Amino acid sequence: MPGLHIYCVMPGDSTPPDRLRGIDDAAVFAVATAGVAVWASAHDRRPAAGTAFASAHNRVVEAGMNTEVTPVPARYGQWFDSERAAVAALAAESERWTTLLRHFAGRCEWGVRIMGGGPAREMHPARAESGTAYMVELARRKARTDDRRSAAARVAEQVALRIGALAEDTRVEFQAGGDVMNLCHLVAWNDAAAYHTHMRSVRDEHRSRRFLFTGPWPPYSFVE
Amino acid sequence: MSTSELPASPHDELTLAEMVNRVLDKGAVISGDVVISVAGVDLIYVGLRVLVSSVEAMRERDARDVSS
Repeated sequence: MPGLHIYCVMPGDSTPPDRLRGIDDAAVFAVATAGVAVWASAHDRRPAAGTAFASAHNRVVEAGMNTEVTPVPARYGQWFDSERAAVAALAAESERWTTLLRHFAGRCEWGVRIMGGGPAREMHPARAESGTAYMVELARRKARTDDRRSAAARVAEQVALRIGALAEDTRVEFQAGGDVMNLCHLVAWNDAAAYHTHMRSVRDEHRSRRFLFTGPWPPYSFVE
Repeated sequence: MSTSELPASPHDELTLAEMVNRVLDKGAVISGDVVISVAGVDLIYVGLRVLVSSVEAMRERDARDVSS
């Protein structure tokens, strides 16, 4: 008996566009209960992870996004053995989904990846003359990583001041030892142009850093 | 979804990394049970590798710009 792969939570009266295909080219359909629905596709076995499947998953979630409705995107890998099990899980937290759908309506996620510009990064010490020297070197490297993070955090603060209330919510992540900072902003569609104007002005003040803007995304970063 | 600010090829890789990072690591958990069956290659590792290689490529390009 086939099980269900879940893409997103939607309002209960939503229906996927005609001929929308999901992972493995499977048809996408809605399963609704208690005023909410999940968009799902049926499969004989739990789909494996792969970039093509991840892209297909994201494509389905994006198909549900418009200026009035923003899906609650599901993390990849959620599987129910039957439609009945999916309905039960959905109904168990229907209030939570309704609240999130209301919060996300008319908004989307924008990403800003900010790279470089801090103190130079050092390669890992391949060898040291003694254990003490090795530990000293590690401590020095950690201090430099902290410096890079602090410098990036100051940029994040500047961004926050500049865009102000245009971002309803913000997430900040560091990667690659502080060399890369990811900012995610939840922004109303109506405010997108003003948001980008402010972000470009911040970028123009930090020429030593690279800014990569991505979006609009379904609000993956804003559901815990 | 779109990106801007970098040349075409790194764009594609970074966009893929951004997408993979979101789809696999973020989003709502409905069932309380998320299992990713990985066929052959660790997809999270792939995303990270794309990111790191893109950053390294950016550094090399910057170094070339400075020296030229």
